[in-house]
Amino acid sequence: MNYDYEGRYLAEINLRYDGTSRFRSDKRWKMFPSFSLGWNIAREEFWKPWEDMVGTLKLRASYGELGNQNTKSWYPTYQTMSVNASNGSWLVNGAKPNTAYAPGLVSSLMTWEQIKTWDIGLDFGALGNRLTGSFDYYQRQTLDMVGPAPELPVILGTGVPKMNNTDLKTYGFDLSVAWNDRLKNGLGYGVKFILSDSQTKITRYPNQTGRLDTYREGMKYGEIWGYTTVGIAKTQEEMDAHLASLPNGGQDAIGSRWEAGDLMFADVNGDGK
Amino acid sequence: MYEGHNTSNYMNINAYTEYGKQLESGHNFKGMVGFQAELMKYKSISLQREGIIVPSLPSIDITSGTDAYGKEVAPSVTGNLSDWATAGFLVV
Repeated sequence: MNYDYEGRYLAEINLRYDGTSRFRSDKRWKMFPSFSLGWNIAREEFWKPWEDMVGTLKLRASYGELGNQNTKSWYPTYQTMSVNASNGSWLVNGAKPNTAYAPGLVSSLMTWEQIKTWDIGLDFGALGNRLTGSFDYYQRQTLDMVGPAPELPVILGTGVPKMNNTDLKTYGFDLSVAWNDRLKNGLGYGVKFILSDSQTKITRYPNQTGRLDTYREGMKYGEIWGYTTVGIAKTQEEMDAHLASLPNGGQDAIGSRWEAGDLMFADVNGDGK
Repeated sequence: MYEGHNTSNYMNINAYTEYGKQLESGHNFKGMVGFQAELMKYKSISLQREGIIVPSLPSIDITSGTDAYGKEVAPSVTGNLSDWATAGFLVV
């Protein structure tokens, strides 16, 4: 539904109800609403004095929910057995038997990933629309994402299935400013400046043991971990003194033959390891 | 001699209707309701039998069923059937 009053106040509401064959019938259908509001300030009476200078000035806000059902497998909630003809490695009545393997685990609760996005923005056009620009700040939440399979005790005895176990939060901004004009001789030219940034944080993931090689709650996507250093050893004596300050193994745990010119890694918690 | 066939049929239907009304007073309304659906059907078969008899006529019915040493080899046949579908109702 779309509504506007003299192009000044704008509103829009969308509603989607989507279903997919990939999930079980009780997890199949989902409602996805979204709406947006706009206020074109340059069309207001009170803007008349500045209309020649700034012809477009619009404030926007929107919220939307969307779903993603694009799983790698077309039948992610069903267990499949691999059946092979005459490939057993033993003989039955003088012939190789057919074989079938017990299926791996699957999550039959698999359902839609939900993406909820907030956005506020501003558009402007000035000096006869030669100078245009826009700014947006957004926050996007990805809920029930199908993340890496969680860690379960080895006693499970088989591979852990993937499931809707991860929430993400992404926030960032987009800024663009452009200048477009035409010279008297007819040559048109333009310049555009774009600046954008975004960060993604894991807000939910079952990682009770705090493992570093998979998602963790509070982890920023793409973060880099490393050792803290105290500098480069300038002489062999300096390195020897550094190694002697770590009586419980310390630096030798990550390498050997430490010499002058190598990095000296800091003992952050002071346990000499 | 190996022969494989696969067919995929993709069907996509979109149906929608729009309504708009502009009032003298400056209020403008626009609305749309729609339906869309996708259906993908995939099917494949393949077969393999040893022993082409006439090299210029590679066809399953004129293969001997024996390998280079004259040993009988069982022909292999595989098949695969899968599909997916989505449907959506929308109000804009």
